[in-house]
Amino acid sequence: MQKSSFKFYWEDTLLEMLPSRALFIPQRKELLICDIHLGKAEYFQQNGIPLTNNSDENNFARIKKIVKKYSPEKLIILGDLFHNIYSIDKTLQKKVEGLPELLKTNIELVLGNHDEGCDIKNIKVYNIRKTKNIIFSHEPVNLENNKTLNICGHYHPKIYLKNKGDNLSLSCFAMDMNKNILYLPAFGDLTGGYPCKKSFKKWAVVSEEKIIEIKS
Amino acid sequence: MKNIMQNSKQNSKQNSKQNNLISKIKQFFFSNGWEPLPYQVETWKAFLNGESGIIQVPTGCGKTYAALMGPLSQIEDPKNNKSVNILLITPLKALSRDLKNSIQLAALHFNNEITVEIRNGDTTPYEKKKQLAKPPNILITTPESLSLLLSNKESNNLFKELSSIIIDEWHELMGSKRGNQCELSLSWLRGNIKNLQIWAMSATIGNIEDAGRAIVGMSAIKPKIISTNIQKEIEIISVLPEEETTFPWSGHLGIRSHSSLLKILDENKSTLLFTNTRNQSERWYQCLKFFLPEMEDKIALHHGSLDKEDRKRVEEGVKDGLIKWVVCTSSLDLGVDFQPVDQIVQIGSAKNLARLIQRAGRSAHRPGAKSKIIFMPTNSLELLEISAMRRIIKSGISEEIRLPELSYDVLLQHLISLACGNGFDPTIEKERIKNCWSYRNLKDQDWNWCLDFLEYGGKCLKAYPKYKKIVKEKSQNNNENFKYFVKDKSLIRMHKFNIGTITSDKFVNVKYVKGKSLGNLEENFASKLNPGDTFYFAGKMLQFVRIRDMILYVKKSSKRSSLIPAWVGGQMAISDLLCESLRKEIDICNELENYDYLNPELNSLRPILKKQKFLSNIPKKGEFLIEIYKTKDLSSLFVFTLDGKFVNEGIAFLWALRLTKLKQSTFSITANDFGFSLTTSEDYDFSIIKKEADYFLDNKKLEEDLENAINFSELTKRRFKNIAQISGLVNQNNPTKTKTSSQLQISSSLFYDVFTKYEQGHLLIKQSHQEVKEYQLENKRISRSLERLKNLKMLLNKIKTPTPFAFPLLVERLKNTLSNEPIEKRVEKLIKKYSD
Repeated sequence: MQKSSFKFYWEDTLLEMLPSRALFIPQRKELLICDIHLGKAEYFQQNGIPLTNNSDENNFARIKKIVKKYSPEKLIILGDLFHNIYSIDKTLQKKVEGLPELLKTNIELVLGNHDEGCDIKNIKVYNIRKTKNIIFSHEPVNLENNKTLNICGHYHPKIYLKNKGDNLSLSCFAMDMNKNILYLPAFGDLTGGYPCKKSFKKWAVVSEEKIIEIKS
Repeated sequence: MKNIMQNSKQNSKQNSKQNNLISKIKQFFFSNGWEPLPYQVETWKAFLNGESGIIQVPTGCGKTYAALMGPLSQIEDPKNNKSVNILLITPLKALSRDLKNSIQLAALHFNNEITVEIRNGDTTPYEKKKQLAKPPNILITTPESLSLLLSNKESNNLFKELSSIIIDEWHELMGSKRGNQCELSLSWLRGNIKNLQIWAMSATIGNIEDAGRAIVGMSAIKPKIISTNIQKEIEIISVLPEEETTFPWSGHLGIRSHSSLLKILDENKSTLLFTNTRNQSERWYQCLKFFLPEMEDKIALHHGSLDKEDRKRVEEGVKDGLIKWVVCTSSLDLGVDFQPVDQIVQIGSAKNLARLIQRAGRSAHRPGAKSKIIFMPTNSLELLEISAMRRIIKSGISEEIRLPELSYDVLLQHLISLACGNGFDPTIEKERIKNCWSYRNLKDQDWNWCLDFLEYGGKCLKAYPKYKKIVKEKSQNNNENFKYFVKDKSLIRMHKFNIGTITSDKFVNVKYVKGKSLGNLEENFASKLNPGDTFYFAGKMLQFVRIRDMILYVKKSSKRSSLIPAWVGGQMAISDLLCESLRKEIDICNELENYDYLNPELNSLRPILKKQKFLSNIPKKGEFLIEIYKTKDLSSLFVFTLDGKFVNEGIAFLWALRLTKLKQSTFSITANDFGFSLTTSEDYDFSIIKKEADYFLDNKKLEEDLENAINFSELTKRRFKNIAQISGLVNQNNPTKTKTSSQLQISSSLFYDVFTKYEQGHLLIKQSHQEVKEYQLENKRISRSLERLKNLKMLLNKIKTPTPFAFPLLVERLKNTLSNEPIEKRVEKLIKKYSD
């Protein structure tokens, strides 16, 4: 069944997986996205590869759209906001620093491997962000007990669907049920992805409006 | 009068000098106990007359000495030469060593100071540096290494006194973009060096004029074509099934009938077993070792993904006679003269005659000798191909090999190479490039696009100052002129590392934990392995330990596994000529019972053909066959055009598109040389094809419909993958920075999406469409095929069981899809099997 979102509870916390490749936590009014890779095109250009850079605009527009729809108190970015800190030019830097004002919401960044060394005003930066029963990180962390959930990015999970008549690859949310890790799909437009393990539970993003649970 | 006298005096002087040189060459032949062949003498004379040209003779007839002796006889004072005199281009690294030996032998005859050296991917940096400082008289290289040399500032000096270029096995290069790469390098050399003589050697092909034109350029005088009437006799022996029922209906491995093959092979004879894919060679190697344990040390495996050292060991083992049998792929196709090879086995169809003849030629490396090849079919229908090949050989017709045209990716790569080296002046370079056969139709506007692309990254990027690949630099003595250069050191490094036109998926290196390297695997295969999994590679059972920095660590395992990596390789379709003969063959099959001439292949096919006739039809000369087959959840259409894989694929896309125009749906497409199938997971009424035959066979809207079909499919994306690699958008790998380079990795399909979305008229996207249309779907052949089908009677049969003709298509795995359904609906159907 395709839906406009999928909900599940972690203990008493409701998590909502959205087809816009974001996760919403209504009780805390927190909206989570990851792996946007801003400035990716510029980084390629600097290295002599002519990648066209209209994607950042598109990324900003999509962030604006979901923030408008869910009016979170906090937008949490689980790492890799930037593709490479040396490709952040002044325009991009200003644009990102102006985001909290523009969106009228707080923004927090859990640092990813691509963000290392970045210096951005108006955005609170963490290495790992721990709450009562959920740990937010970029790369997955080892959990001490089975009551904690780890939500992370980094892997750009994808799923390959296939039958005798057709095949498709889609971005997905992926849950490692044994280790209690939930991987979010990459939010950025200019990102690829990797297939994830069979044993993971998956929810595939079909379009901007539709998401579907994959029963394996 | 006086003038004429002088001229003739000069002429006779020249003639006597020529005669002297020719008798000196002949001496070399006599001293080795050989008799020069007439075509060899003809070539020497033509060369000494200052001509360029192409030699067309079967393998093993002394081509090398035909082309080489002329240039060799003219080297004077080799010790004091400060440049390469003769440049030899060969398609395979493996050929270089043997070439060097035979050249050295001949060089000694003229002057023992003549130096011969090899420069290719296996040459050490130290040697390469030495070659630049003290150039050898004769340099043997590959098209890729030559291209690399042009990106070196020293290239001007290295070649300044070059007098002749010899290209070995030109037909082999011509069939691919390596041919374009070679043409472009030649154009630069011709432009920089006056009076260059160029000679190519080729197997017998149908379009030898174009082949000759391609090496000398459009503006040169007509190249000399030298061919011989040496005919090589070929004996083909097919391994036929022992029992009618056990013969596999399809598949591409043929392992099940190995016992019939082993019966006729001699363990003590040196043997090459050619397979079509690396995966197949691994499987056969495993199979032979299992069934002939006593031969274990005498059987070896040889394919392009194995470690260099291991390959060398095998090649030498065969020469020394320690290794008797080698299971190999086209990696051993050319040269590597381990003579004599006593037995040649071809496993699976060779797809075209030239390849079969070349491989057979390995068994008799002496002019006039009879060559023999054992053919091991992997599915029964291949026996028809062999039967057809026999008929072609009898008729003596040869196939054409086509050189790709207007490959912008190769052109961009070439221009960057020049900009990394001595720079290029766009006005001069444009003329040189338009002088190349495959770029003779280059438009000014497209040339300017290429320059823009390199300088600014294309239209969209003009506003981004950070992008620069090539930059203008004014020349010192004239402010009007300028040249383009690559200034950034790291760009130069990256480019040099990526030169080449043979592209592939990303590779990971396979190594034992203890350190020894085994070869390369496609990353795609590696990414699916979990620690502890076992797989078969390089003839060994291996266990996956871990993967780190593009290295896959393994250890030996005793656990058995059927997992064998597959490498994505170039697909082959049977040639036009073969298609035509194949159709004749099938027509004959109809009348087998009252036909007097029966070759062993057709005879063994009798029971199969009988079954085909019983379940459906065997199409006669004026007919073409369509079958419809339905199961509980699938409807399939089988169409047998007998027109070669690529044409079949094209018509399949066309019909799928025309069907989706009538009703929204998704089709999966498979094609082989016999026909194609369309499959859909709904109950579909395919009999509409017969009712609307005119609509489906219509030729007028072909271009437009094909273009649409291409847009709906993934074909162009796949083509674009290679183009992106060659033109330097996607970088293979960078040895110095395994880790950081990952930030520069992006899939070609993302490029494809971005370019199609934001940059209309992108030439590289255009090229991918063009390549799909011309080389993959071959729209001219499709159009011809539709015309032909229009005049045939359509037989449409609903079948209850898959017929022998349909079966191979039915079991082929899913390759392509064409859909105009919304993605939501496709997903719904796809996950049915998960949610049911």
